[in-house]
Amino acid sequence: MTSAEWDYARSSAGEGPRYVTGWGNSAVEIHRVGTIPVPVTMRLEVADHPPIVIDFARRTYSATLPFDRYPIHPGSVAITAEAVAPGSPAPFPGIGVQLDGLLWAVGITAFEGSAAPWLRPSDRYRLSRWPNFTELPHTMDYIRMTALLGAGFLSLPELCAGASVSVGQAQRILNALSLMGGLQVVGGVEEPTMVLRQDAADQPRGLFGRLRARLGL
Amino acid sequence: MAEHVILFTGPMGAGKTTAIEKLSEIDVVRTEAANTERQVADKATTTVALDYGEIVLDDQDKVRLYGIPGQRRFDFMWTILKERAKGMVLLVHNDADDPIGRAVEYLDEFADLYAKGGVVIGITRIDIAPGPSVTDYAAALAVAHPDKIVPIYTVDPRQRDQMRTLLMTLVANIETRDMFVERVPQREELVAE
Repeated sequence: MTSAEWDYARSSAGEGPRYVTGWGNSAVEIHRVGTIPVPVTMRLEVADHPPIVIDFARRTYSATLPFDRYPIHPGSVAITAEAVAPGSPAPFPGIGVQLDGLLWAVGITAFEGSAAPWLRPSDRYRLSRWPNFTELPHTMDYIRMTALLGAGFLSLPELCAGASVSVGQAQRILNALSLMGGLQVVGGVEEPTMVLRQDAADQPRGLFGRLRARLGL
Repeated sequence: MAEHVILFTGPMGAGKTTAIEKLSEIDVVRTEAANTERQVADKATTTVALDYGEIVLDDQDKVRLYGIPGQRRFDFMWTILKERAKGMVLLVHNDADDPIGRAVEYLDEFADLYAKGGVVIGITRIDIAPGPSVTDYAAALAVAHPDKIVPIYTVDPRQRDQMRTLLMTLVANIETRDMFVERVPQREELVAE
């Protein structure tokens, strides 16, 4: 990276706190800062709650409260992001926890079933890495949708049809996976080489559905 | 009667028998003998033929869970069972010697299942050895098999809910592959070519 690129990346991280409302706007900031190609730390402060501190370089974060103990609709979140030198120590004591846990929670919650603003209606999505579902709160629908996204490029309507879920459910997982950096996203109208079968969702007697029923999941 | 055979593979000491016990609806049939390789896995006994458990879907249908021994000298069991298998749960204990190398070795051995999306990986004993991480495993597998995205979870085989997540992920992954077909080009596209 040239020094000009480094300076640009550093300035992109921002200075001083930005004040935003709600997890949706916070997610937009996290998404923006998470793509900056230099090590960045971020601090999110919700009034009357302990801060959430993110170390993007190590893909870890620290917070003394679980995410579900924060307000669903925080009135104000003060966000500070700072570019740091490669190899800088973590911005919190200890090793922190995996950032995916926070990004999953924010992504699922933030837009309440609407599309994250960085996604476009014409996009198609394919999984680039599986989330570690044993470490994340999940439903069987999320597992099924993730498996579908692992098999081919899908649009939002195709994902809904293949998994027999609502637009809101499908959009939540797309928001979360994209915030985590777990999706390939392609725009435009070009059709993929592999497409979902027309009768794809008509599998009530499939093994997944039957096991799910048997295990009460 | 339809059968759905799921294999549980991985090195000795990874937790295969425990995983099957957590999923099976019957008492697991175990074939154990004294472990003569205590330096590899510090446990008194080890599986020498197979473990067997099952989940009954209805009177016509069962999910059969086979745990196969981790030691190479028993690999004739692998050959017998992999022909019938629908999918494979690969458990690798993170405190093993070269756990990523072991995982790649098993994936190569069961390449047919891997190719059709019939593999999930569970990394065990991360409380004892936190590294390598899931990311490290994914990066190594991407080098060996860049066209495949394999579910890789950290798991404790003693946790029933985690074993169910692993099994359901495997089944979802296998079934969804059959939901895709090659797109037939439209007439206009063919004319344009």
